[in-house]
Amino acid sequence: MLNPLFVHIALLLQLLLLALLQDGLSWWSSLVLICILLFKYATVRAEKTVRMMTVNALAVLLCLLLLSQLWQQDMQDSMLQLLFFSAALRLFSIASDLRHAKKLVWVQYFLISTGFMLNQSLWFAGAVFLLFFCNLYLHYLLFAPVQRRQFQWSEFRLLLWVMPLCIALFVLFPRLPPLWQTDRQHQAQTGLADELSLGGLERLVQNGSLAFRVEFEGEKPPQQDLYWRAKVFERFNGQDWLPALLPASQPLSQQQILYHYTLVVEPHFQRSLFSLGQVHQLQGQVRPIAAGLIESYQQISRRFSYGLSSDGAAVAQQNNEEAIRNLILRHSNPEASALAVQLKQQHPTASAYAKALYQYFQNNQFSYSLRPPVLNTQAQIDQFLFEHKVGFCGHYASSAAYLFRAAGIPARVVGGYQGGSWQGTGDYLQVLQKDAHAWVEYLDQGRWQRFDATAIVAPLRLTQGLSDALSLSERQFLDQFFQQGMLGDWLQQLEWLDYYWSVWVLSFDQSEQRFIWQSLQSLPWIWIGVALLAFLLLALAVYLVLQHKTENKNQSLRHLMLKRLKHYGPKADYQTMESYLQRLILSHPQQSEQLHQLLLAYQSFEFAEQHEQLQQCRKLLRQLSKNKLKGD
Amino acid sequence: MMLATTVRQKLINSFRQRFYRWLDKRQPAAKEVQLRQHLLFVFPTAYGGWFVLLIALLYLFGTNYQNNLILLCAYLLLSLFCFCILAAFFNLHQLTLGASAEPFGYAGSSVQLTVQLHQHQYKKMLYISGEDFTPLFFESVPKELQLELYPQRRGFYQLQRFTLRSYYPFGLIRCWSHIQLQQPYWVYPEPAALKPTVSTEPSQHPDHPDQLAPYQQGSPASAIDWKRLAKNPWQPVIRQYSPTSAVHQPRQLVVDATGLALEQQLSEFCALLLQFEQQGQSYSLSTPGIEIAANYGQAHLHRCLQALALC
Repeated sequence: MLNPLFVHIALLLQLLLLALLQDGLSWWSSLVLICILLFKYATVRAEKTVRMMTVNALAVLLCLLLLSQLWQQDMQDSMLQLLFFSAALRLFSIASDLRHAKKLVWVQYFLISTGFMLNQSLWFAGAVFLLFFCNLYLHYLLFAPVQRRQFQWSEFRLLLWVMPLCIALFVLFPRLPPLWQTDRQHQAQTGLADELSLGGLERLVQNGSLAFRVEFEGEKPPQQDLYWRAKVFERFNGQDWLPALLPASQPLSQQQILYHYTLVVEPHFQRSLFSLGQVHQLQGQVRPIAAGLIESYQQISRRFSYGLSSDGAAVAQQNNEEAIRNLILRHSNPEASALAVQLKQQHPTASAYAKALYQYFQNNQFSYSLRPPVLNTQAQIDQFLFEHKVGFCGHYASSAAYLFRAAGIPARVVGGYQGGSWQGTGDYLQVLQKDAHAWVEYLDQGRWQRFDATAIVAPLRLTQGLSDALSLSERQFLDQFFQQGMLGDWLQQLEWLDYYWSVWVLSFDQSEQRFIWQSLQSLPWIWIGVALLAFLLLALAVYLVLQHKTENKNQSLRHLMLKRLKHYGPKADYQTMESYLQRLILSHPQQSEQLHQLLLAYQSFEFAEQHEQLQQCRKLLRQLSKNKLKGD
Repeated sequence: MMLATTVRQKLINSFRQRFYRWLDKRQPAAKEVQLRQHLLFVFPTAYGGWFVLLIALLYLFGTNYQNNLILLCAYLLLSLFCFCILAAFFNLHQLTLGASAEPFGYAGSSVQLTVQLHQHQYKKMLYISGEDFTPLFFESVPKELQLELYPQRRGFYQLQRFTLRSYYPFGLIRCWSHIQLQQPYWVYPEPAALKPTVSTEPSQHPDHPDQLAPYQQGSPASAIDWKRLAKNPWQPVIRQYSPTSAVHQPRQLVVDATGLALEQQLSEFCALLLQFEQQGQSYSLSTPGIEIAANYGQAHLHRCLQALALC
């Protein structure tokens, strides 16, 4: 017998689940699911039953439809859709048989959990866990008395025990590395392109989603030094800058360290990671690679956390080949080359040349725009430098690197992020996808010095972020969603919460687990054990004493009475204490007053449980025994 | 094929016998049984098995995609599973079953048997089944269980070992116990429909009693002379009839039939005994095994009926 509430809650749950899992479902499957759910709702309202033939036919049809879409879709999404279809169609058969309802609950557990494949943010997790507990309630309804609908407090209390156990399992249960490689190359929106073309970052700039977050331990670098290096592009093919096939890295050197920081990176399905200047120490599943960069051992397919220590200095040159590689310039932009040669003659050293270039960009009416004119395929750099003079970081970096190389100074384009905004009360730095940036590094005296022409053209871009560097119309184009006032504060609080959510929950991994175990092992277990044992023994002793006291108050009073009244005459076995006292009153008229009082006190202590009468009894007994002795 | 099935049957039977012997040693029949740790069995149900599979799947998923939240879901379900073991156990723990006085019934109809339950509060979803009564299900456990025993032949029976089980709260874990209560019950012969010739008219006392005596405490109320009581309520008197009165000759029933006739006779005697008792006559019974002197009253009636049941 199924609880009548079950169908309604299941319907509601599936509807909410449908809303949550939108990302994983194609539009037609969402539509079909909504239709199925509405149909079910209508039949429930009309109290009709649908023939199983109809449902089965529908199921076959949907399977065929799914199969036909299979080659277009991700395998995982297809599985998700299949599961969801089966869950929705199962709604039609649950009333007839408890087994179907059991299966439905099972499938829903699975569906709800797979929601985390799509999104792991705090609010999403909250919604998913809400559905999870909703499903738990459905599960409870299956086996609970039909009449009652609520959890009883006793059950609820027991359920509370589940939570600590769950957390303990989460923290301490051994974690394994992935058992097999899963390929989920989603079109992750990231500012890290595999190649950098002159207009490459254009679409990204509008993306306000999170790239990574950084927490500094101790000193924080100034805003204009926040250049997060992620990729180095060393090959230029006339239009695009491509990463070189980099040789193995060189070991890190120990030097004076300025900044310690921890990063939490959103999944971008690449291996490149972000670092600040020359890196000296690493923490986590990361390794150094060539050009002073850092990468993880695996693709970043979930939020990932690692720690670094850097100094603020420029990256050191690793070998001579590096310099030679970064001088190659096969594609000609004649005007640019001429300009480079001319400037080089005036400024022979690399640093002077860089200064001259800054001067050049400053004095020639270059402007910053996210909607630069489209460039031809031939001699793009000439076109940009001498014709349009409008562009963004990709343009500036690309042309500056060309100018350096043309002047015989090794230079390369670096891709990454620049800046970020401090969140909370400066607790951590939040870097968004729109902070993606490209700049140039040129070799000067064994170090790769930074050259960022964008900083000259749009200085606000560095200190205040992208939106201030753009004109008003461009800002509108950017479609910013900076909220003002209370709502903004609120959102910031939530973001702050989300940060710690990702630090403590999402990126909890083997290394942190090992750390917890180690710190557990290092506790003085012997002393803790001894203290615990001592505490238990003490508690036991106190308990026994208390037990003894409460149990034997009456007993001990009776003993006392017998002892003290012995001289007045013994108590016979058949007598109750009261009849014994009454006999004493009769036989000892001179003490009858006190004996009578004793009887009353005894009665009210023993039968009315007036504990304060105990003292009175004792007092009277003392007097009585004294009087008797005197009398003798 | 036949051989295989018989061998299997034998194996199962021998296993079952051994199991029951082990149970008898573990829980000998008792008037009162409290469900304690050594009596309760706890094991996952089939659905519990599927649930474990779900946990394993989620763990695999979470591990493979390095997704902590899916892992968290798996751990949540796992700890729920562990909680269910405890909850299912405590749902039956300390429930106390007590046997009641020996109930009786008549062959061919069911016997109502009452089992007293103590500590039954907070216990839920209880299934009770056994070999000799119709299975019962309770959403919340009552103070008394009314078992309806299947009809049996006449005789003296012992309530078979029966099973209590519960899937509460999430149906993942089954908690059960096989209980042997020391609960005997009687099945008397089925009372036959009496022919009118056999039945005696309810005896009419003649209105002229042999003797009148003052009422004393303990005298049967039926013997009070109500007419006189109405005249003189302060001095109730009772009638005393002389024991030689023909109507009050003790009825004698002798079981002497054998074979099929025996059953018929027993049925008739059963009906007669009930009738005599109803009429307040005294009666005696002699069976091949036992002689019961003339008497009357409920205790005497049951002694006689029990003697009949055991013939």
